[in-house]
Amino acid sequence: MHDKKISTGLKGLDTVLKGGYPAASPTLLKGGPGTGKTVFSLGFTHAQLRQGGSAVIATCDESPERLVGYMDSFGMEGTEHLASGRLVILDFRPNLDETVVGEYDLSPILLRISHAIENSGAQILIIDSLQNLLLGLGVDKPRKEILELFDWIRDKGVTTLVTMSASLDDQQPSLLEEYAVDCVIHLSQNLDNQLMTRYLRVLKMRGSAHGSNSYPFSLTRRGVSLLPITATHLDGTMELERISTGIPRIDSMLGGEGYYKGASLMISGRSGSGKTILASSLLNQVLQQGEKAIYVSFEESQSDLKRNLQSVGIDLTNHLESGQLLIHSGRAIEMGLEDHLITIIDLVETESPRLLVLDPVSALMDMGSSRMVKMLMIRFISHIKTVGTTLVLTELLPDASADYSDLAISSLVDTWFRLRQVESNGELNRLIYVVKSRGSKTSNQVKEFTIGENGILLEDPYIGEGEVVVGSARVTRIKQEQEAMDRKRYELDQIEQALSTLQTAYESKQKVLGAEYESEKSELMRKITELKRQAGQTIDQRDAMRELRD
Amino acid sequence: MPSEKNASDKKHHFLLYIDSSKTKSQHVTDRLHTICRLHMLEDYTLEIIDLHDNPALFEHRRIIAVPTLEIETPESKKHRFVGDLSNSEIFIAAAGMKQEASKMAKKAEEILGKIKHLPKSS
Repeated sequence: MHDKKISTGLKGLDTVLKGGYPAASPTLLKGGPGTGKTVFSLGFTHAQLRQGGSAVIATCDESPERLVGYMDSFGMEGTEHLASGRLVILDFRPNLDETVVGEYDLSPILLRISHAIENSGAQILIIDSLQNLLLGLGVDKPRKEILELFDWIRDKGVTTLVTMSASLDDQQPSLLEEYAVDCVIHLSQNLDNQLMTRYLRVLKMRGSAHGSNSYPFSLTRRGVSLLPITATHLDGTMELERISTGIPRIDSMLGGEGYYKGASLMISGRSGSGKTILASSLLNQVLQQGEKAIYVSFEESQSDLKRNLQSVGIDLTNHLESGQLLIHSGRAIEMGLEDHLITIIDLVETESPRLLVLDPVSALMDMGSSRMVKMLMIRFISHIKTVGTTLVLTELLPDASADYSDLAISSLVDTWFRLRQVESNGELNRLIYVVKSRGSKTSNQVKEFTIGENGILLEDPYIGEGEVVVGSARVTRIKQEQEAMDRKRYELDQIEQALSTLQTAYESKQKVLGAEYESEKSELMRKITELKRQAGQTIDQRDAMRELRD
Repeated sequence: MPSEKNASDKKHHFLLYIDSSKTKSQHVTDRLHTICRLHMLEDYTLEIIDLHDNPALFEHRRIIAVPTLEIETPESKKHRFVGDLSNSEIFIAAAGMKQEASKMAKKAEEILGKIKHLPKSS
């Protein structure tokens, strides 16, 4: 029946309603006092007027002047729209001095509205609020004529938003909800731990799918802001670009190039383990590249944070002045979790930063039941992911926690750093390791780091005999090793010397032996020659004798 | 009824907003005349405005139901009544008509008293 929807002027609500209010039919906005019904309808009006359309508001509570004033204060240009003639406000406030004397017809309501719509060519109609329309006549239940009005709205194809007050205990659907309207939206206020949160729920929507949960929203200076849940269907865009952490050795722990753009990172550690400084190093790196960033601090004021970071060589002054960096500080207890997240999302939407730091996110965690908090954080993290902003969360681990994370959100983040402090030999040494990093070859090593005036510096820890040694113990261990090495080198020298002595001895002995051999050999040769000569003489003498005898 | 401007402050002014297409609006004029006659209110003006002829005026006067009757009494008091006057008691009381009628009765008594005193004085 409804193939068309009209944008509500609210991104989050459009998502929940799968496009917007059903076009050409009435939608009922039901809620108790102070739930923001009027603000919702004014936001819708403004969205319509901004697109060049026209709107008729039938006001039954506030005077037309005040409505225009509200619009102006929300930045919705009420005065301008009214002057242009595209916004028509019908004054339906009840006349309380009227006396009812008999039967009557309500045909003027329909006639006045249709007259205004036909004259202005309006596409949308707001009735705020329905139950006060007939208040002056002492009627609190909708009458037949009101149902006729809704039929007329459908016939004419006017997209209509009707607000109606709902008492707190009355959750029974009325005739109006069951019969007359195609879409019912319920607004409510919840008080939890003295903090008020507003919720929106779509009760019904004929012929269309819609989000069926309770969605928190808040009233901000720009109107309504609804916490969107766009990315609960895990279809975040794939980012392959990597961003350096600014600390080369941490980059190499993440597989060499840093973290993925738009990833969510979590840094867990006890107090004083260097979470803020690591987060700020990531922040600073992004700022150095000329990108925008937002730092949300629940613990430190802007000036404290600036000073503390300056002492470790991170100077944010210029980035703050240029507007490249926005520091938003506030105590966690100021408002409910939903309002915090909505404020942050609003900041992200207006500034579209490359990086967002929440320090520490654990401050928000004790603001409700852990299941509810986790649910909200899932929405929040996935929303930030769809925007493409890198999210850096720090988690403060309680000192008694035995270093286990009690935030159930670690499974939601892409990269998780753990910072630890190890006490040994009377000193605390800082360690960092990567618990996980999706899509990266992560180092399985625990590295030691120090915080100096140039920020975080990673050391190579001594790894031997199956245990990691850190701090001054590491230095001692290296010294011992050095001594052992020296000793061995000395021994080697000794042996080498012995070897060469042996060689020399061998060689000299060989020479002596050679000389003896030579002399003995020549002696023997001399004897051979002598004997041969003597033998020759003997033969010569015999030959001479023979010649003499012949 | 002849309406004279000089005597207007002594008159009741009736302004009746109706929707001529609705039955509840059709008999209200007759009923108004009858009530006035019964309560001895003769000096009044009546103007009838049909919704279909002048929707802008309905907007201006913020009228949401028909018939609506606006009365301006000689004391410049304004009242607004919604309905077809079938519950005339409230209307009569609120419009100050009974008071008018009782004034008449008082006057009648005074006149009667004067008449009674006549023989004594004569």
